[in-house]
Amino acid sequence: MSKKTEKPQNDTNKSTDDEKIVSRRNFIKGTALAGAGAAAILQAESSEAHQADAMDIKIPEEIPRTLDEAAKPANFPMTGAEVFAKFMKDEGVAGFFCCPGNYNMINAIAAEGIPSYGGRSEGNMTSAADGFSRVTGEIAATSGTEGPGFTNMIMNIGAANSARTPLLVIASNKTIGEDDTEHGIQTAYQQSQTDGLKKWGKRLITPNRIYEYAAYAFRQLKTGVPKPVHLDFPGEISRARFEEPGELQYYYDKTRYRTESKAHPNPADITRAVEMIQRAERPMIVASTGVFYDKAWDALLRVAEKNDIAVTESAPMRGHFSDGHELSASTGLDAVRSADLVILVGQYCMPSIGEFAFGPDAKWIRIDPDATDIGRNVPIDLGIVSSEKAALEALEDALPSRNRQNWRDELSAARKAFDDQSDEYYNLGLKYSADTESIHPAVIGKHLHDFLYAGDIAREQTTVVSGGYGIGRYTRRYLRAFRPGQICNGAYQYGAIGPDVGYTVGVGAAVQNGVGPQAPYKGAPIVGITGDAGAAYSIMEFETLGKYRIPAIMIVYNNNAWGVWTSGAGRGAVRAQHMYLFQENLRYEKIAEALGCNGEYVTNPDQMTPALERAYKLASDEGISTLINCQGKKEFWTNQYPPSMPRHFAPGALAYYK
Amino acid sequence: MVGITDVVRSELQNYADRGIFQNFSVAGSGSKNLNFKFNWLTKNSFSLLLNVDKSQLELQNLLPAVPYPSDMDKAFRNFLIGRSDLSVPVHRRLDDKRFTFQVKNRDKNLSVIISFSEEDAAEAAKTTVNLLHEIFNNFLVEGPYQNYMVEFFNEPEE
Repeated sequence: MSKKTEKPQNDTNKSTDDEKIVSRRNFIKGTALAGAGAAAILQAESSEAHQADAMDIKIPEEIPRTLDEAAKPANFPMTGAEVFAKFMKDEGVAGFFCCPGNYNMINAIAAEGIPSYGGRSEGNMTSAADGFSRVTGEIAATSGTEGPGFTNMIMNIGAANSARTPLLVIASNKTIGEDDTEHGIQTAYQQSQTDGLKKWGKRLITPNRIYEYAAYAFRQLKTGVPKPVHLDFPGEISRARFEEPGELQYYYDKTRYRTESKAHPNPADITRAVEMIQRAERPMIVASTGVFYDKAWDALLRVAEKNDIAVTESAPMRGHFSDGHELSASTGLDAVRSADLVILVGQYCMPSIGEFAFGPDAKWIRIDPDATDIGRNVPIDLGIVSSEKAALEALEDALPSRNRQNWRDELSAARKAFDDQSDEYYNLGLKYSADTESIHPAVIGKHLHDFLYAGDIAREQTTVVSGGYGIGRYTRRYLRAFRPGQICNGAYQYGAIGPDVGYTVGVGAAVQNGVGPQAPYKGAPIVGITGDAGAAYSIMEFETLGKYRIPAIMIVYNNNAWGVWTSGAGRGAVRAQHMYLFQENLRYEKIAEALGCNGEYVTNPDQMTPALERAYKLASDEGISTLINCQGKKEFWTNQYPPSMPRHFAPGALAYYK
Repeated sequence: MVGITDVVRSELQNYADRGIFQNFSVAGSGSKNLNFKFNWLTKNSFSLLLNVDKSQLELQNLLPAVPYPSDMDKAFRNFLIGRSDLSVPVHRRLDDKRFTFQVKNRDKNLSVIISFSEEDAAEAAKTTVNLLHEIFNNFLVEGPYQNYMVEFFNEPEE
């Protein structure tokens, strides 16, 4: 790390140090930040209200300066770290998120020109990489130092595993020569700690096999059903030196160490699928994780439109079928219950019967690249082993055109019923807010919806991290996705409450750099949503957001308690309630301000939209993130305020909430 | 008599064979009435009693701890009535011309009784299973029953 940030200065002391210390506004103005990982250029002066608070927080000049340095791709002679970093670059790793440690590796990766970010916690940086992948479809990497740094990543690796993210996890791991001596600090067996949380892993032990094992890692990351890949780099590996290519084993081009070929469906299976689809009156595609990673959304649209097949989503990202389409069932929950044929496409994290809302008479087709998973949890009527895109294209070719007006009408009615119910919740929320002098989560959701999709911002523009536990059950009703990667579903299936600000860093970086489907929205502000319980785990990453000028608006729903607080209040619990509660009216937005960002405190509905507007302007004009602390009441989760905590299948998140 | 038991049993067995039910057992074979038990939507198993003489299927003690009178009892009865409404899509609508639906609340346990004609036995079985689905994936999901499901059906807190 470069020299630490200098102490705040008052006006009288500024003169001689002005050249060394760059205020945030000057930094944004004067620095054209090249390459990924850099911040946007300021286009206007910061708001007056913000100016006073920003005076004492400074970004050291080393940050823009080093971000602006030209990449220095390695060539022989190379260290092991450089060999691996170069490999990552050649394989198109699009983002790297870490905390210091594993120094040889992270320095080599940054030097190679891979967009790199340093944060405040290894776990949050792991989630940043996870979030980055979820909205881009590209591989991101994360690193932590051995021992405590690595173990700080476990929860976040678990979350990425459930989301089936192609996450490259790398860590230092002491040295092989000192194995079992407990010499020094931070010793641990790390591979075993990710058992069950990864697709593949290896502690490298033979230096000249580093290239070979890099190939192993990327074959796993780039083929089949993705999951995290975990590699450990003892010092002998990262510091090894190779004078020429011949010193490395199996050193050859990627066209030889892996294939781009993908499985295609058996024509007989497609024929049978077409028969089943034609017999069905109310067919529905569940477009899940694999549709996104296989970039099959265009084929999905053509299939759906050709035969009038409804589509809902169930992935850790949303938008590969637009919520604005007439065939979308993502906001038509009741139509989901009516489907008589369910076609699961790329459903990598497979729920059990009953976790989906589909009825008992529905038939099931499952399309998946992995034959070993077809039939697990949900018994199938037809299984098709294929990449998602190939299967959808084959179906498009084989299916006749068909109009299902009754089904369209039912979908439309279901969406309207859902929207009517959302409006009902909003009106109840307004009343509850007035009664309690706070803001109800339904009000937050509705105001956010109107701001993002019904105002001046193009509805496809804003990428959202949809997190939180209780708040998520409301805001998910109001969030929409109109294009691929528009929503990152936070606590997907693993239920980790806490990484949401971490996800926001990664998603923000993806949009900031215009990666993959985010390209048309490069530089646009993003939105993140979390609760007060979750915010505590990752709130320090507001410093990271500020440092890199990632323009994010983070809504923190503050109800003074864990979302499950009623468990401490009833069912015979004694002396337990205190464990579930926080002090009331905590000011989380001041933490954001103290970390170089902006804060807003919203305590009634009238304040919500103006806060969003101010935050958006600040993010858009200056790249400064805002934490909007929305003061709610824990009692909203009780039956005193129905619908309390809805148990809905959230739109397009079938696999997550029941 | 035999016809109804075979027909109903066959329909329910079909759900088990398709893997919709996680398990399925029948008690009372050889007698007039059969008691079907199966696990499906919750950790609690369901009990479905076939009363041959009365041509009735009873979802026994389906929802525990529901006082009478109570908001939940009332909401449940209204839900059941509403499922026959013309606004419900025909493929999910309860056919109140062919079947009668009755709610029984005894000792705070809600049961649902479906009465049918002998020739409608197969459809009655399917209707019962679909009604069960609507109760657990519609009524209990749409209503304020989060805490109820945690306490009485061992649903996870999170």
